[in-house]
Amino acid sequence: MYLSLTYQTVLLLLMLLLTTFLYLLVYTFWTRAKKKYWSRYKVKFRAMFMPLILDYIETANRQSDADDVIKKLTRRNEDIVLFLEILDEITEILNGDDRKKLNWLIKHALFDRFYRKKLYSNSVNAQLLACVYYSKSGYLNRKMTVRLISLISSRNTKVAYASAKVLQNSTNEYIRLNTLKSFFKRPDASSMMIGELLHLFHQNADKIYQMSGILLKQLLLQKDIPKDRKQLVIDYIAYHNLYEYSLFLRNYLQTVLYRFENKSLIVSLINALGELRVKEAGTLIRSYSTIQNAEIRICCVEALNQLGGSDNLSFITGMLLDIEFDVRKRIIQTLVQDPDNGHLLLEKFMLTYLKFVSKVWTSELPPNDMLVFINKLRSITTGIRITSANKALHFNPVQK
Amino acid sequence: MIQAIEWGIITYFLSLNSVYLLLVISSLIYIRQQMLLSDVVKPSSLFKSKVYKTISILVPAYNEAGNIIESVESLLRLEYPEYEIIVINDGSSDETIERLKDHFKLTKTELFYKQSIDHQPVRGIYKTAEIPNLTVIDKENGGKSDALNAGINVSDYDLVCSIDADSILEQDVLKKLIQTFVRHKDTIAAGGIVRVINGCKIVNREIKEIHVPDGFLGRLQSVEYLRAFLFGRVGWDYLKSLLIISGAFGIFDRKAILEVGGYSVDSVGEDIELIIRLHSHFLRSKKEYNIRFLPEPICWTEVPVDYKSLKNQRNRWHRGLADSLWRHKYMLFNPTYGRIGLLVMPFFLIFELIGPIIILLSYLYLGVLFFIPGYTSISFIVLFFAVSVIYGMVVSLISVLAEEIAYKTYSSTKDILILTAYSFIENMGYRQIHSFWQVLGIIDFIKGNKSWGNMRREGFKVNSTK
Amino acid sequence: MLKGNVVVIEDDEITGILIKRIFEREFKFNFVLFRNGLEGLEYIQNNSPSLIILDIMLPGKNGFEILKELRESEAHKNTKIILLSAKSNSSDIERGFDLSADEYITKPFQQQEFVVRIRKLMRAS
Repeated sequence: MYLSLTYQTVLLLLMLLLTTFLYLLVYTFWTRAKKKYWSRYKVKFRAMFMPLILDYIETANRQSDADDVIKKLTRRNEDIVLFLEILDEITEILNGDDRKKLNWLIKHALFDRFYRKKLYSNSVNAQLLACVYYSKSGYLNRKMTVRLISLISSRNTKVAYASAKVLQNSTNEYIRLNTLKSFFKRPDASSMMIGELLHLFHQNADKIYQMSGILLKQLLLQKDIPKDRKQLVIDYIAYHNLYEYSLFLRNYLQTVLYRFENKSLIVSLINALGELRVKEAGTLIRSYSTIQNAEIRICCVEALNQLGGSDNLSFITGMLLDIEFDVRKRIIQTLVQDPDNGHLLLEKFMLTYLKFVSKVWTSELPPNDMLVFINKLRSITTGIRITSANKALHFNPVQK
Repeated sequence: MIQAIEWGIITYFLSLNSVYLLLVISSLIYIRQQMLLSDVVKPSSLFKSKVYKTISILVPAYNEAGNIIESVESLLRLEYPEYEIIVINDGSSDETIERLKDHFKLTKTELFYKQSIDHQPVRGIYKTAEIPNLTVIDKENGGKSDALNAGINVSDYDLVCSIDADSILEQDVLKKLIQTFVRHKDTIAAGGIVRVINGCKIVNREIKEIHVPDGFLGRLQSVEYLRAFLFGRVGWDYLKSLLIISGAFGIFDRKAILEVGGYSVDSVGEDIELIIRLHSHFLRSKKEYNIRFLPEPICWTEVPVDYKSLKNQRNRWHRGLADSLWRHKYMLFNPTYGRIGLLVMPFFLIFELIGPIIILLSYLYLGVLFFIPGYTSISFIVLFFAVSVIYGMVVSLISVLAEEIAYKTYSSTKDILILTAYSFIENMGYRQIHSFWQVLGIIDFIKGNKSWGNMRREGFKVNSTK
Repeated sequence: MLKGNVVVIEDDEITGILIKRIFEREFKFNFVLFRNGLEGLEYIQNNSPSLIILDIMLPGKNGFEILKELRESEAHKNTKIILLSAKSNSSDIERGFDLSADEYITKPFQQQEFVVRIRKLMRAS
């Protein structure tokens, strides 16, 4: 019998409804039952192994003691994963000697064999799991290094990131640096990833390995690394007080031209020079105080304040008549918070301009400009009054 | 002629439900992608610095004396390195401001800020040295937008977040949301998943169990939230075409809001209107920007459980949509506004805004058919039933399935079974009545109705001792 | 061997087990564990423990709030309280001591060091 298009559509939709409905029911029951089973399994597993592991940590003396614990573990995928999960959680809690013993467990040949296979597989998931494991275990040989370097160009961002992380365990600082270079070029690298990698790069250099010179500068000089990545490197240097980069950063700032696309880079650089208290950069920073962009002017104020000294503070006071409210506000906050003579400079400012205001009728400025100017002064004096009062009452918000 | 109408109706329903289906399925794919070993990129607590932007949470409050203290206390417990809370008392007629002053021991003070956006006069600003990140603004009544604008002026931080006084936030919501800003450069606005809290079991301020609400309307809305507000939005976000962020929780770049002039005070749907205005401004000035949706639950809200409140809420939402689209009608089919102007807004216009009218007319047409003697086109009636009701059920069911696959939020199988049943029920009456409310909304909009109406709230404290 | 009652409020499973083992091994304390801040606080207010170990990130009520409330009450102004947390930045540590915690131990820690600090603290009473 020939069924018209109408009935075909209706039938199709009904079939779709029925299949969806059945699939939903089956899926729900099946996955929830599975989940219940696995969580019960997990509870039993942990109840059994946690005391074993904790006992081991208390009593173990040699690396071979780890074998006794591992013997009790089956080679099943799920068991290995659950076991490593427990070890993972314990690494967050214990360190020192206890941690050393934990590492014997983590680095055990059983896991190494298990994950080595995954490292060389073609499945993205397997590669990812392997990389996650090796970041923790810290074991790295030449053959693995080659494989990991190739994984940095993987299409999957997470695999690339995870292998870059593992490579930060390499004793060769150039391998670590080149890993960063390759990874930072990727358009899909996020700032969290970059931050984490920078941290591992530096942390490992600090702890065990020698670092010759200021290697991170190569990342800044590399032409094909996008500017926002370079910004993160600079922020990192500033946040962790890597003073050895001070002069390099100043020279670097001199080479950056003021253009719209360089704005954020300049802001980072000026902030860094402030954080690192690079006094030699004072003149350079002051030259940015008249630039058109308000954000740059604000960070000049911040940086000059951090460099300190009466000259810099006077210079900041001189910027007080800035056209932008936000800049004026920052200057007022800075001077009010200053523990030494900030308030004196503000007083001097107010006296100077009050004298001016009292001579208003002899001024040559056209009335409109005068009004703008008077309003600005009013705003500044209000700001000084309120900010000072709030400081006395400890009402100031947490400084950025 | 009859043929044309009938084919028109069928095509309409077919395309409407197909688009929803597409949205749900693409969201599911997108979410699965995100979730695969998402903890590979764990934000290490060691590298904090400028990756985190500072956030101001704005809490506009009108006659919230009942739960304002509880709200603010829970906001103070959020986990985030640097944020502040600004409560704006919008000229309440009850003791909202007195309770705040009393409980937190606030004293009147002044703050130095620029009045970038105009709003009703501020009567006073209150702070306390003990809780430096809490500020309370007391001002004359001006409406939610007006209150938010006051908050935006006073805020000194990078991002502002607007929430309803009765939204309950997860403790790590700010940490989660900031990922959106970090992952996508130039993000100027972001929203997240809002879930229904009616029916959840709260013990000692912890959400212990998540269940569907007990009542009929509550359960219907749960399915609706999954379909339209969860997967619908994620789907749009995937297509980089997000037009709506829930008013219950939205986070914005402060400078961007100042650029467009803040919230509009005379609009009923101020949250939608702001987003559209942001799109409009940034597309016109050809600046890079992103408005994103975080496919993770961040906020819990109470849904109305009585007929009248629900009707008023939906009426208001629809008026808001109408108002926002009308104000920015210049964007429709205008290539300057890219995807938003050419695809998204027309979609919302035809399917979301005018859609209910078409739906209602279709049902009327169907009704009329029964009174025409000699009408024997059974095929049309059956087809109509299939593409509107059956297809609708498919989409609702798939949304429930997607929720099970992606999140498994609900604590017990019984909840899923209830949602499944309600997926059917939703399409056999609720969506039709909903369309009716929306049509009333359009009529009210044309008449110029601007009120908010009242929602009878049970208060989430009622649930907490279950 | 030192004696007494210790109340531990900690929501991480392994940390709880670990601390329990430490107390069983090294001290003869009565050990009570809570995983929710409000429940733990209520128990403390109805009993008089000799030592309290508090995590900071807790469901219900966080460690800082609990600490503040205890120090404001007559009964627990002087009870020995140790903060134990993964939050290790100086502002949190400062806050802990500002609220009059007797000790602040950051995770990860060494078991031996943990024991030594507790002994020292309990001996000082």
